[in-house]
Amino acid sequence: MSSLPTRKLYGIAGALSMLAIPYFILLGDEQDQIEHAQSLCPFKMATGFPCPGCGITKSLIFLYKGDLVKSLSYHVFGPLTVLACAVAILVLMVEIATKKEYFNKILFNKRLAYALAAVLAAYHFTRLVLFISTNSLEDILRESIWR
Amino acid sequence: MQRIPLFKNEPILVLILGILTCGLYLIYWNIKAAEVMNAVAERQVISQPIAIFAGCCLPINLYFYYLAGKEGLPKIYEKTGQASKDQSVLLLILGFLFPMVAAMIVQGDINKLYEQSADA
Repeated sequence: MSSLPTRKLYGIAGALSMLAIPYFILLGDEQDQIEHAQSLCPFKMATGFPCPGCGITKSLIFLYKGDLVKSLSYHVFGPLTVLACAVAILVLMVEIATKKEYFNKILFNKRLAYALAAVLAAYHFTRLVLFISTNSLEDILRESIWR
Repeated sequence: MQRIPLFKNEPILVLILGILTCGLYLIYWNIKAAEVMNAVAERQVISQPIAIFAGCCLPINLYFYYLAGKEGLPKIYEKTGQASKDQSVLLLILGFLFPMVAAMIVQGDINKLYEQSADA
């Protein structure tokens, strides 16, 4: 079983990679082709439909570019993800340094968790309805790897 | 001793519902699976925000399956009298490539908890 500091280190690594991967994609996108690039989400590649997290990477890329409107258009939770990851990194580092745990009441609050999940679910459902109503079957297939 | 919440599903149903709802069901599934694993371990192995954000952020999804394989499932194996094994690598790979299949494996192991209590 991994120790608590090790788990916290993995948490920091996860949050850091969440922030760093879009940055490196942005650095490699010299021809500004990111908007037309094939999504790397396995679900979208297989079905053409977005999963709840689809668009977060592109949202972060446009946020790094300073285009907040486009960032929000790709995923409403994109900017929130940056904030959550930054806070998580900070809190976990402080927890490792002080050997104490903070915000456990918030982190393990079931009501808050369900409320957050409901907001995410409602957003994803709305996005799916819009996606289906504004795209033809051909367009949806083009989002997958099959066309 | 913490009461284990009832969360018994056919693993194939997890796959079907996951696909039909475009991953929406997996947000709910993550929360319920985390609740069961926390109750079995009698401590917070996977926090609720991690369970929720696992449904929409790939690195957090991988962290969810790492925790499930490393600390959640071994407690379930212990409780159901199975040989303890570390499933974290398998779940990490499946969580990266086919999250719904990883969820099916975890659901299958969670189901054994209730089969055992039905036998007793």
